[in-house]
Amino acid sequence: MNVPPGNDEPVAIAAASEVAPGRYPELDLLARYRAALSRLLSEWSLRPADINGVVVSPAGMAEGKAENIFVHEQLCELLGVHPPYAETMNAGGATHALMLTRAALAIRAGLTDSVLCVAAGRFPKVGDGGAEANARMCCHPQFDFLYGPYIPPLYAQAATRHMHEFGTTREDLAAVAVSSRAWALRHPDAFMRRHGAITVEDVIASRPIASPFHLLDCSVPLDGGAAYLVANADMARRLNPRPAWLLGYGEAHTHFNISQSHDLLMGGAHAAGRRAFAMAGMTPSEIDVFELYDSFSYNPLATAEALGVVPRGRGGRLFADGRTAPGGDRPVNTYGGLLSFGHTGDASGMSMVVEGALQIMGRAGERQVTGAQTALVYANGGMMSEHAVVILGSRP
Amino acid sequence: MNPKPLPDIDDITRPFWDAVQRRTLALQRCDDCAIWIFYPNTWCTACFGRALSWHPVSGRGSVYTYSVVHYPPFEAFAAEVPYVLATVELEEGPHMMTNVVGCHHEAVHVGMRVQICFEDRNGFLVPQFGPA
Repeated sequence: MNVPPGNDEPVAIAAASEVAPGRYPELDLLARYRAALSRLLSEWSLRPADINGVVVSPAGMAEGKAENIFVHEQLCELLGVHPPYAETMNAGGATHALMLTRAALAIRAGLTDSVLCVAAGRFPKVGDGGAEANARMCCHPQFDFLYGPYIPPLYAQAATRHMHEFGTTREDLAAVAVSSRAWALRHPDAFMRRHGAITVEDVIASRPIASPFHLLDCSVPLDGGAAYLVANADMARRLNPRPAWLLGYGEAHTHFNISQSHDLLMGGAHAAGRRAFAMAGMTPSEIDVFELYDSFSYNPLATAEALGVVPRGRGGRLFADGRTAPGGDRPVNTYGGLLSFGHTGDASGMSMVVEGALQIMGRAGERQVTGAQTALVYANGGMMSEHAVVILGSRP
Repeated sequence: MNPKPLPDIDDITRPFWDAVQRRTLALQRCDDCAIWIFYPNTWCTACFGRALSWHPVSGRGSVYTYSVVHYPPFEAFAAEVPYVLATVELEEGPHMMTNVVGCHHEAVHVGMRVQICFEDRNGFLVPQFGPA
């Protein structure tokens, strides 16, 4: 390991891989991490000497437990590496974008020259006890929890508020799911690809869950995992002729209980985005591809507004007009989103980071956005509590 | 038997729940900066002052937002669907998660004026809101 100095040193994602989301009951916790690492090692030429740091998210959150807080030690042993930097970190769905910023900070501080970021997750279905476990984890146990909350009606309250303030329609929300499904049809690993294209009418005809959300407004709970390697310029160029350079990042932490967020319109995304754009010296109009966290159809609609892609109240039209779908001028969730690719619980934010990196690397296959030079990844954790934005580019 | 959950009360929240058992909504206010505080706390989140005192409040507010739950999260709420999970903005300012009851779920709307009411869960009262 040779660590060069410098606070502004270019840092890039040099390798990125994700397991196809699915239901893998045969895989225990460690086996799910192993699957993510196997995929990375089979798709990229990496040696143990290339892994000089490890950041990993704990698995089990989505099942209401997070007992494996030593997982970074397990993975170091599994890989046979003894890095100068390793930790387990958690910020819910935002974790996987924040891993990239933490890796960059570690490299730029001279702690190391590369950091492997890993996540594996399992998201139990609502009917299998997942709803109660999640509600207990994300609601105040003495207050909010008493009223029958779980994740869909909590996020749905944000959508209701947006519809009230801006006249966003039921059809606008459905258009987000339709756009994501269209992208999923181009991704071999997208779970909902097998179900084919959907229309706005299909979304509204699916069974009601928690108004305004119907089933197809909700992400698909699955198992999965992913890994990506962050490296300094020398290593990134050695491993990949076209790495995804980190141009800017920002984060914001706004509340825990969603009832205590007096701004349900993604104010945290706005703050995180402003910080990331300032660091990158860019504006939203300079972004070619957007990967926006979509546990529900509402989120990307509001996030596009919060990030300044469109003015407040215009997010619905952005999706309804087809601008985010394949062939549109503002591609969003080119991998199919959590809505149609799949939501892997503790690993969910990985899907956005991996796809953003693959688009910049020109390795996104049938769904490749032609000439994509810049990608913005937004991930949120908790009940829209933790917000992370990273901007990737084809040049440092 | 009402199967719905009950709070595991602690010393910080006991005054709130004691007041609710008297069919009163009470909140903490900071003696120094007059900010209303919810959830119950041991310091003011605006000034970190420690002088907080409990005051009965109006129990009136408006629906800030809501969702009609059609698919129940777990068994305790299976018999309730469709029910309204709402966030109410109290006249004093704080927001509370609650249920809106006492009217058809389709009548609930953002901005609707509401008034506190109480659900009896096996002899323990839990605050909810209904049309004012």
